[in-house]
Amino acid sequence: MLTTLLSTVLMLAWQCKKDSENETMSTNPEKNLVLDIQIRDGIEELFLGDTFITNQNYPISILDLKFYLSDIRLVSANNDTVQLKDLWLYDTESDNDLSLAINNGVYSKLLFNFGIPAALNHVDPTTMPNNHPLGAFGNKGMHWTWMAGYKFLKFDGFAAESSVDTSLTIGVSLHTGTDTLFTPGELIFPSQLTITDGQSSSLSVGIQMDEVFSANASDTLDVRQPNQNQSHSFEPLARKFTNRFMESWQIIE
Amino acid sequence: MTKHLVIFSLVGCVVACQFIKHNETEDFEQSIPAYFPTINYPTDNTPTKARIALGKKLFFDPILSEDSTVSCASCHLPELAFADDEPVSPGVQGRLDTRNAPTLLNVAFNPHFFADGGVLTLEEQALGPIQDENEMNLSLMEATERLSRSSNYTQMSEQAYGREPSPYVITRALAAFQRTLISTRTKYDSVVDGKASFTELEYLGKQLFFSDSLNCSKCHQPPLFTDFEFHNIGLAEQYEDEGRYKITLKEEDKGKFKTPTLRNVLRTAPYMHNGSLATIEEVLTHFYKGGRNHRNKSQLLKSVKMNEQETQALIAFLNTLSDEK
Repeated sequence: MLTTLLSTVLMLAWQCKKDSENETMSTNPEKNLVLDIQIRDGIEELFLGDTFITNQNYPISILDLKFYLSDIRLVSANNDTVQLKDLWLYDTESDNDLSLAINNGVYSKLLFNFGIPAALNHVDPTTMPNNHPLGAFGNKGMHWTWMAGYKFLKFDGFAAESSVDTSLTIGVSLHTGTDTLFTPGELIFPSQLTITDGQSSSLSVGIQMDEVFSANASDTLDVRQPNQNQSHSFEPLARKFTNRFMESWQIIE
Repeated sequence: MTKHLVIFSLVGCVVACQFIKHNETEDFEQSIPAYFPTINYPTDNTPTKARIALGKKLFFDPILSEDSTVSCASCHLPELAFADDEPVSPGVQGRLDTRNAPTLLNVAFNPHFFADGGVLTLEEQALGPIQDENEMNLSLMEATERLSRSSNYTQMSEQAYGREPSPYVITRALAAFQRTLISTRTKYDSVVDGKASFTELEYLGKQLFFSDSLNCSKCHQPPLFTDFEFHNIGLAEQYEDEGRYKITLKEEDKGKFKTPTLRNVLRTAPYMHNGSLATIEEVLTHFYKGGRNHRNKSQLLKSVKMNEQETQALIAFLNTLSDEK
């Protein structure tokens, strides 16, 4: 009951916040910033169905990649915070450019949370608008269904033993998402982002998939190992995958 | 199995006894014994005839499965106490999941759902089997579109919830119907009500059931014969399905599963979360042996010696928990 009440209050607050944002944005209604998140292999952008070679020299295909980001913010040079998006479901299958209206200013970093806040993570999807990122249609299969809550990160694909192996026969299904995996993230801009009147800007973020699955002395993720290619939210593997995934983000110049 | 021998009343069972309390909401009335807990209806899904009728229609209609071959009732058969007789029920294209279908009788009182208790409302529970690839494997969007193409469903949906078919309507209607599946017409209830008495064998079984030597009633507590808690009963030394641990991520919850109700237990074989024990005799033998070694095994399980008469007495008592035909 308490959770339901808390969720309702937060949803109301979320709605109010949206309204408030809209009012703020009305002073600068033009969408002047495009936030573009790209799945990449080095300098190559990857799309659904593409295959990349990991730093451990074996291929993985991408059949599905989705994840939630929440509370996406820009931080200005004098530490003012501008809200960009409350909740966003990234889906490799869709157009993932976010067009935003941002007030003029000089910005130095991007803040976000990976996953869904606990108070929203356990809503009944059928109580949300159908096409909302948490709604029955809009969550695109990210609701766990066998437990209350959502997957934060879903990666499906196939891998092979080595780069000379042309048949991808190792099924990879890394799905993660529990309150404990809700993680803050920060991307500092190599050079400051300046938004001025009448000028459109873009901010491109690359997720280096080859690095997600790279060898790492302390925390190697190798999906060729039987215990490292299937995750259902709760194993240490889920934390490892989340960490490796977040560490592979970078601002693209 | 004794399929088709028992037909349950689908919309509640009215018990003519003196300890009755009524759940009345709008145009719906349900009577249950006074010694039962109260049903807490969700504020957005109080029962009405229209909601229950829609839920009942959906429950028996395979329209909610990918290839329209599987309905809720395919695995939850009324004549088998809304369970089935398979270790693991086949879903679309005969696919098998990993867990045994539980009885739906008295789910109105459950504080959580699935064997690991991962879902807290009956409404949200319906999202599982409809979308699970090994059960009905249908997206909610497709389910909604199918119902929207039916003038009958559209009309029933409007009557029940004042809106067109949607995931909200589907899950609420199914829950509204399932809350009417109440088990109260057992010999046990008649005895509690003072209108019947146990036979000698049943009485011996009852004494054993409630004894500190067997500890059955510590978890299978009347009147619903469950404590709704999670226990490891030493079914395996290594659990493939780690049960409650999947939800809590606590080591001490590995191998724990929700205590199932024992009402109608003799009609719901096979048993255990994975259907691994075929008969009630196998279940009793498992408990007599005290279960297998597991660090989380309940302290209530201990090895006991039981003779044939005592086993028959326990089964006779358990049979008094079956609803009348």
